[in-house]
Amino acid sequence: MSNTASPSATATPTPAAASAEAAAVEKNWTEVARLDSLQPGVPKIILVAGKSIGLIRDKNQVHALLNYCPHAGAPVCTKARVSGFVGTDSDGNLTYNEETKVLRCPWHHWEFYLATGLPVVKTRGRLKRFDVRVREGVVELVM
Amino acid sequence: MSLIDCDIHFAPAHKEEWLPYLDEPYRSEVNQFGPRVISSGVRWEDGGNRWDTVLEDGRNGALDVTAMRDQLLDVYGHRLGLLTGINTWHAGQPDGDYAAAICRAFNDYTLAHWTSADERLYTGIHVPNLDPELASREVERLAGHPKIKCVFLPATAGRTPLGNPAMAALFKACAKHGLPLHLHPSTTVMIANGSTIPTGMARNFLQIHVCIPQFYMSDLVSLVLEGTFEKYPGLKVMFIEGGICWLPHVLWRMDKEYKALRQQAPRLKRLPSEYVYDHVRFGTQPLEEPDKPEHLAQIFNMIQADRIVVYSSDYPHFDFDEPSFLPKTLGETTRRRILHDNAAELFGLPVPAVSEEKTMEPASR
Ligand code: FES
Repeated sequence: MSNTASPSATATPTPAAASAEAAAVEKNWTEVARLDSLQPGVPKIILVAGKSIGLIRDKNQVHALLNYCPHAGAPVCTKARVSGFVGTDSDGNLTYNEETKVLRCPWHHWEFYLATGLPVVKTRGRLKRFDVRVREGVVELVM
Repeated sequence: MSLIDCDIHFAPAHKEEWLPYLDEPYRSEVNQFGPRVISSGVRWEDGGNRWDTVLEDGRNGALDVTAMRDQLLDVYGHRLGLLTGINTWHAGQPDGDYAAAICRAFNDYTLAHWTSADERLYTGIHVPNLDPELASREVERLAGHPKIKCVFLPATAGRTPLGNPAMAALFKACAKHGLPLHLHPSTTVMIANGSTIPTGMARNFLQIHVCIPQFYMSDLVSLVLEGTFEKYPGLKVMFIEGGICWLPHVLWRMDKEYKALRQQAPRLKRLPSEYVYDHVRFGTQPLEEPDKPEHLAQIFNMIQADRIVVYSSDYPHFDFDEPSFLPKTLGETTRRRILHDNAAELFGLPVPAVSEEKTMEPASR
């Protein structure tokens, strides 16, 4: 599921594409922020329908995560740190991948992939993500 | 049940037995002045040996292969006994050339006088622990000998933690030849590094002996978190004479902290404990003896002892363990894996196929 969809930017709709578009239109998009109010890599906490949600901008994409850590229930986005991925290449040399973003929980510093919400070190649970789109500088999400 | 014993001590009865194997200029040196000694300064009771192993003529059983048969090999049904010898002569010697020469002589002497005397006896390659490059040369010299099953590294408190990349040459040689690295505590190497317990110099051997697992924890953590087993996928390591009850703590703690601080161990691809299960084995002796035996059985269960524990007697030392020291409630499969199969796999011996059985049973004895 894309987190940065711009679903209407398609050419002549095929029947399948048309029904996908219809489904997308039926989603209940809610405006939650202006893109330029989000600082890249710095989570912004918003309250939507009684849920605390973290918005995290990565270039011109936005991720929306439930502000709840599957480890021990921390508000996982509040003051979380976002960075690229520290790993190694196939020769064992250390690497830093700017594109693969991870979020680290403010409490116990566990790492989660921003793109999937999965923990980097395998364990139970994952971050809950919401569909997000950016239209004309406005961030919208589906609850 | 056939037995593999991963720690049997022995020594030359007198200097003339091994001196011919020592290269010059050290042969002349030892002839004139004796071996270089690093002394512990702690009370040492008859070499730490069991008093009942002393023969009628006053010699210790560990100096004589016939006595070793009578006192050990024929008593417990050894299929393979690993002669670990002595490491006090070379361990911690600051002069790597000297240490390497002593190791070469001792290795050649062992192969000529001991392993050839009984088909059940095998040994490993002693190496100078403070010079990984010279150590790797000795591994290259003897790897492939049919009586060689591992590489002995006197442990611990090396100048650097064990997983430090400075050890690369030795790890590479062990992995290349499929020889497990066998760690055995050495008071002299600890002294040489200024620390017989992690906080400094202990006042007596009792304290040193109790604290060995603390060194082992540090070395295990260093080996795993440096990504040593990613770099050398063929490397296996044995921790001997540290007991096993410290393992639940360190395995759980490593996995927990890794989840938070993975970026400081970026070479790992799996949980730290998974590397331990695949690459590291632990000797039973000196097996901890809690008041309630079922507590020990529970720890065997927690650490999957059927995968990672190997039997070691430590003959002829005072803290010797008989095979019967294992908790009585262990399942047959677990018992057999600890007493035989786990070590057989490490040493490349055939492991007889057996029918599936329950490996662990509820604890009580
Ligand atoms: S609560 Fe988030 S890492 Fe522990």
